[in-house]
Amino acid sequence: MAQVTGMTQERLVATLGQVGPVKLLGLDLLRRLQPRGEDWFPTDVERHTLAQATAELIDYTRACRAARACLERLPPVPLTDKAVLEFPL
Amino acid sequence: MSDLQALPAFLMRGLASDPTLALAVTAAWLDPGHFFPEEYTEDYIAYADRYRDDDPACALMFALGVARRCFPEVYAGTVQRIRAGDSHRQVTTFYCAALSERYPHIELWGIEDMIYGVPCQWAGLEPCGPEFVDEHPQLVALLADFGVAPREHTSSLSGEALYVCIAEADYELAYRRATPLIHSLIAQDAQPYGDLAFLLMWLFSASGNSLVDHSYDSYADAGFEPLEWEPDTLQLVDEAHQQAEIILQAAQRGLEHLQADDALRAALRRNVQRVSKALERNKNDVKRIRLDWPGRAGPGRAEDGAPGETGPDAALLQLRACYAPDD
Repeated sequence: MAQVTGMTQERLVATLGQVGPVKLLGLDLLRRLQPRGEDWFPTDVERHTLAQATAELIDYTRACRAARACLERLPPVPLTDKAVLEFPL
Repeated sequence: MSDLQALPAFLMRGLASDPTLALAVTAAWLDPGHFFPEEYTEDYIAYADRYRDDDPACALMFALGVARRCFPEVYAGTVQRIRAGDSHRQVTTFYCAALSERYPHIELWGIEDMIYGVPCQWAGLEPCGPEFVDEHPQLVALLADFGVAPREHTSSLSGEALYVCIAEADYELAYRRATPLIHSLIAQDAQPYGDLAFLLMWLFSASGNSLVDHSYDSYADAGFEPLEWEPDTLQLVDEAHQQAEIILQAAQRGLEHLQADDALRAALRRNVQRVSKALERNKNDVKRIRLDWPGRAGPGRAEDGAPGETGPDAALLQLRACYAPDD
């Protein structure tokens, strides 16, 4: 199985572990500009900033979707440190 | 403020303190289109033939889907207006205005027709069509300068005269006669010849700009599909409209020149005669026929960067940029 891509369980874990937290402007705005009273979302956001945050979030959503699609198509990865006693070789 | 009224803010503060919930709230705030039900997604509406003329929400959802993909700043503004409680008319007015700001030469009067593709102002002529003779008497007169006159079109069954039009074979002949003139006029690199060149390009659908060379019907009959809402397409269509505007205004000025300037019209007829004779002699390279135009100062030669978008200078600059022969 390993010959399909050369990917191992350890490399996959290390690769996914290297993905750092993403700094999103929208998330930052939501935390900084707490909604007031009856509002559900922040309202005092400048038009340009709002557009920038929206574009960034849409791009992030696309990137996440692409990453998910890649993971879904990932070939089998050998679990080298897992002993499956039911099927000893 | 009662506790109940303060509840939304309280809940939002709680949601914002958890990373996963905060991301979900941010998406709901900035990108609600991500959560649209399937029947309101752009692809579903467009490709599953589910568009409903009588459902304003359907048109709005399609427009939002386009904006989300092609121009997020318009999407962001539209979403905020919907959330602020603006009426459907206010929202669509904002949407169209925002799109016009970004693509000033594309005319979008409403979102209801967006499903049918990027709106295009087809300005091409159909000289062999039944309405041309009545609708464009000045152009019919110009075709007469090329030796073409309208004929009666008769029914193939009854032999009855149906209407008067330009025969296709005559139009083809006129086009062959006009081609060397267009090259010669472009080579003058001055007005009013630039305007005259664009007039002939419009008349003979020879500008290379689809909006000028095609009518709506001829575009559809040629089997072209409606233009899809894609950023690259929008940029191209916007530029094409800008160029078409310059060409059509130049063509209109060209017509006025011909009507007001007897010497120019006489020169046009004289040059048509020369080309016609050359074609009759079967000259292979009609481009090399010497054509003379009356010398004049004209409004001046355009310099690069001349002001004015649709004046004579803009027409000359466009001729230089798009039609000047390679050295």
